[in-house]
Amino acid sequence: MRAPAFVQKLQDVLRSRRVFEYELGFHPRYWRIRRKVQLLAFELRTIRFRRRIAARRVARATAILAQLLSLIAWQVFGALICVIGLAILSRYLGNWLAALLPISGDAEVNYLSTLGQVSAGLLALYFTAISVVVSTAYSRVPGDIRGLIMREEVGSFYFKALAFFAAVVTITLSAVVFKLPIGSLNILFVTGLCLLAIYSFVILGVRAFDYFEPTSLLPYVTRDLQQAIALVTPGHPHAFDESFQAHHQHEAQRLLNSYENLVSLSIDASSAAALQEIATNLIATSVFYSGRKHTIPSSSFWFARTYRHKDWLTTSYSEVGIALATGTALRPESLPNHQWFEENVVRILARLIRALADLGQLSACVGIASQLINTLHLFGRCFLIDEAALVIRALENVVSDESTKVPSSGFPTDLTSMQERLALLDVYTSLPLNLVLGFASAFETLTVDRLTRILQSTESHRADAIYRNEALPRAAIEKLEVVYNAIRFERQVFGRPLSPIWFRTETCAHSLSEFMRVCCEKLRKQFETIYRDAADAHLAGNRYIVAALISQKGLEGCNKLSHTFARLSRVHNEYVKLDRSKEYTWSQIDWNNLGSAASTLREGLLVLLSRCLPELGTGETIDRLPDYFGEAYSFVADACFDAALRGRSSLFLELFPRFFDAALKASQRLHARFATDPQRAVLAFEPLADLMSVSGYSFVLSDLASSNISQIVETCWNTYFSSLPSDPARLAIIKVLCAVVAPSLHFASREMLRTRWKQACRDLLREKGFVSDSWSSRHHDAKSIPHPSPLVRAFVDRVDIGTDGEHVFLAAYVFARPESKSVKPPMRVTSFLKSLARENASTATPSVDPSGSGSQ
Amino acid sequence: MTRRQQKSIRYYTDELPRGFDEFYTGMFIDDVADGLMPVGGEARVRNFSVRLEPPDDRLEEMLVTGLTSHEPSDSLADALCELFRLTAHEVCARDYAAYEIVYYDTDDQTVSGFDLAYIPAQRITIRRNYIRQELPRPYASERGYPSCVELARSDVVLFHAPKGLQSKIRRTRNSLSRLKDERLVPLVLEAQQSNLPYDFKIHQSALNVALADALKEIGWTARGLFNDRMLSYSLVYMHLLFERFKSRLREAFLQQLNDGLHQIGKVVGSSSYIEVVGLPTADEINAAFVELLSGKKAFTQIMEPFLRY
Repeated sequence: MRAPAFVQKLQDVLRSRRVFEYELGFHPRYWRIRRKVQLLAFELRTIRFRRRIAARRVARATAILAQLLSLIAWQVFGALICVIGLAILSRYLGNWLAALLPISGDAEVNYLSTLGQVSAGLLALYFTAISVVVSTAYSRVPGDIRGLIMREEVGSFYFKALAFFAAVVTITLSAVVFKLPIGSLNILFVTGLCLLAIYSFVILGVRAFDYFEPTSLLPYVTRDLQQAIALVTPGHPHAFDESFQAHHQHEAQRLLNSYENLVSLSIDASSAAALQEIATNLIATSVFYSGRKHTIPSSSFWFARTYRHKDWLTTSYSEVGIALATGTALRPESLPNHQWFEENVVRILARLIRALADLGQLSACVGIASQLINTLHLFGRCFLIDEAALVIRALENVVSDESTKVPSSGFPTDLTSMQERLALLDVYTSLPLNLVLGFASAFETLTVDRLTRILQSTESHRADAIYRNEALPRAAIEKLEVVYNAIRFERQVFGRPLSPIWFRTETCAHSLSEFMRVCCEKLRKQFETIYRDAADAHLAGNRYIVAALISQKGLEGCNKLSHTFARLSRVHNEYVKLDRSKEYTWSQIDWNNLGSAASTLREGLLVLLSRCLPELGTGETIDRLPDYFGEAYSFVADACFDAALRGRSSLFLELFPRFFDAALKASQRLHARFATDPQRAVLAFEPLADLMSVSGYSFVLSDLASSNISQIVETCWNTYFSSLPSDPARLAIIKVLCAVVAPSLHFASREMLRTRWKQACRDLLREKGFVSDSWSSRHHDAKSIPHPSPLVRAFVDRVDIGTDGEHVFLAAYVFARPESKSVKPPMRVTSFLKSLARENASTATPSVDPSGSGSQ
Repeated sequence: MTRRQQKSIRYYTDELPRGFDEFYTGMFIDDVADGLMPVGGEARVRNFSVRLEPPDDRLEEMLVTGLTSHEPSDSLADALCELFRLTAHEVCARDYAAYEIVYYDTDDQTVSGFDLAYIPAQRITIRRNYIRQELPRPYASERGYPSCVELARSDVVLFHAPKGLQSKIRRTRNSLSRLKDERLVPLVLEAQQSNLPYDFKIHQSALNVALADALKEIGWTARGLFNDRMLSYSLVYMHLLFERFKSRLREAFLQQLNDGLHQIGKVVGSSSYIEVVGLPTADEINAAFVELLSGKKAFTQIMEPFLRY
């Protein structure tokens, strides 16, 4: 016997609940009921939301009342003291006062009528005051700005309080007319309301004039915008409701439009202070948002939507099947734009900064850019690289335009605007540095252990569990969501999470690795654009100061970028170790390539800087501007030595001739500057000492590496000596050069730098096995040095006993010149010359490898 | 002269077993049957072979021609693979497959060969000593056949899934046959016309969950239908489950065929049995599960031995 149909159905349900749930979907009634339930739930949530908003308004109104009361408390207190004092006095005076001033029966009615008139009068007066302000200052503003005034809470509260006062008076008056007892408490209450209305009017009436300045509305816009952001983050009951998400997005968009309208108003009013205040508020909101953005689900309707057509060949079978069967097209895919907020903010900021620059308020621009330095660091810490690029781009045009106005010579008398432009450029070029530092720190905190803890949250039954972690890149959040959904699917099917934690961690680490690769590449390109390309363009436009400033910042950037790559590579190596399943194609980040790209960029910037040197040295010395020449000279000198040390011949050949000229020029400048100061006149020798030192070391290093860098050094010096008019002039110069190495009690800071060069040189010789760290070796007889160059052998022999590059240069070049015959070499040069002569005389070991792999 | 003595009645019917023509059930049956043994008896990577132990050329010749009747086979491996493919279809679709051992007698009463004749039936009753073939009554009366034929148990090779799998196959088949999606299109059209608040994504998601739920015991991944919903680990896990299922089915079929061969051997005078080597074994699959769980081996390496045979 067959079981009844409903029994069979019940059996089916019991056999497989999931199949039953699917079959339910074929009943139109199911969808209708589901819709009704959803609408009901939505209504309930809306009611709850409204209640929360209302409760918040009440709380704010209470706070405003408390504020107003605190402001008028002393006045009310004074009034009360008066009334009470009079009352006490009345009691002491006895009944005769009542007899003297009897209260007529109509007093109560009259009193209340008067209060009613007062309330109506105040209401009308306040409204008129506001209307006057609005009609004057806001006659041509967009509706939403006027709406902001209307929604301004203190004013709204006062309006409501006045209306309430009028209503209470009307009711009590009606009661008296109908001979209903209203009691003395009511009289006291309306009296209190009247006092509040009168004293508050004084405060609020004055405050109404603040509305002439549109920025007075900023705190309300900022607060509402931050509230809209907070409401879509976990912890708020409606954060995961698509309708509420979309509502808050619209609200935020509306408030951002208000910001833009406020900018328009401020531009019309040419109010730099207002624009700066708007920028401050916008940046503060961006900071607020960036700290919470990672807690918003990727598919949230908080993110504005864009649409994309689906690919027929890759779309799921079900959708393609339905489309084929119904003869329709595939429905476009709705994609979230995760940067819609930043795009809006950046657009407003760009407009605002441009307006400030047009108004000539460059100091305000610098102030805003300075605020962005910390913001960019935070963006880096929150992995918001693309968003940071938007911010940098917002400043780019203004900075570029203003930079073109910086002269390289013929400076104006008033340097303020030039200083401001340079300050703006300085701050702008600092932005990428802070970004990379924040970015590297963020990745360093994202250790494997932490990643594992984050992935454990995917097992939670709470939908918001995965969003309660610290900042993660959006790509990793999306992967976390995939893992969370897969684990939920596994739990639905198998009753437990199937994929182990190690595989989930691996999955997420893979996405982080990919994100790291993309970001490193972006950062590299961004650095090249901001520093190399910009410096190149300014140099082509003969703006040497600007090009030098950008190059110098770029050099700092290169150091930080190299350092960042090194830090990231350590993190990446840890991630790669998680690849156990070999299921994913892990991005191969070529750290060496990235490192060499940073080095190439650095070298390019050094060459650019060296090209600026001749022009920087010719401008007049202005104490109010930074010492760009000195800074560029120092960088190029150091780079010259470094290129010689590392065997970067092409870079050395490019840099040395410019360094040569710059050193002579620097010496002349110092000589001119300290001509009347005998104590400091010796400082003029310092650039010459640098030049001699680099020349001397380059002779040794050239022989050591069998390179051709010594040729350019000799050529430069030969050209210089040839340019001198006569032998006596050449002799004089030789004497000056000897004086440079003469013992002096004055100790210059550059001497320290040259010591560092010497130590670097010694380290290289030690690496090659020519010198040892053994102290006692200094006291033994000189050993034969296995190198074919007599100069190298002589230098190695004396490197530990006070022979510097300057001495090598004098011995190897200056005292090889015919003009030097009559000059007595300095003591250490004499010693070195002896060593050199001995080595020249001795036979070099023929079997020695010139590249140097000998050992002591 | 050779005589073929078949007791069961051979007849043709257009009626397909339940689920055979259904979308997911049909795919499931095809995938089990096609993946059970190497197609054509030749494995692409594994060192697969089928042999008689002890070797018996005469019996092997009989088996090559007798195991399948649909198309001639050129080797024992080919014949066995084809038999198991057809048998797996039957077992997945209706729980069993019965074949009568039909001997070929010569005039001198010696057996020159045999074949396994498929026993079609509306219903088959299996008893300890006999198996009853029940024909559709109208068909039998129309042609003057008896409505049921009893066959000695020793004359029948009966294939079925091992006990632990029978209920799983049945449950899977039942669930899959309920998961038809041909009703989706009319529903979508109706939703478009009648303003029904229908959400295709939710319905599709319910279908995926129901499908995965139906297949979790067998491990069939419905030709990648869950690739977007599951992580690779779970997919590999399901693949291994499916391999374990096929391995158990294969071993059961082989045992049941060898039992039949034991009966045939008594008649043809042979004690050989069929041995299959080079296909995934239970131990291999268990080891793969351990490797998967430990994460010590790449997923592709774990899956490699099971992908090409």
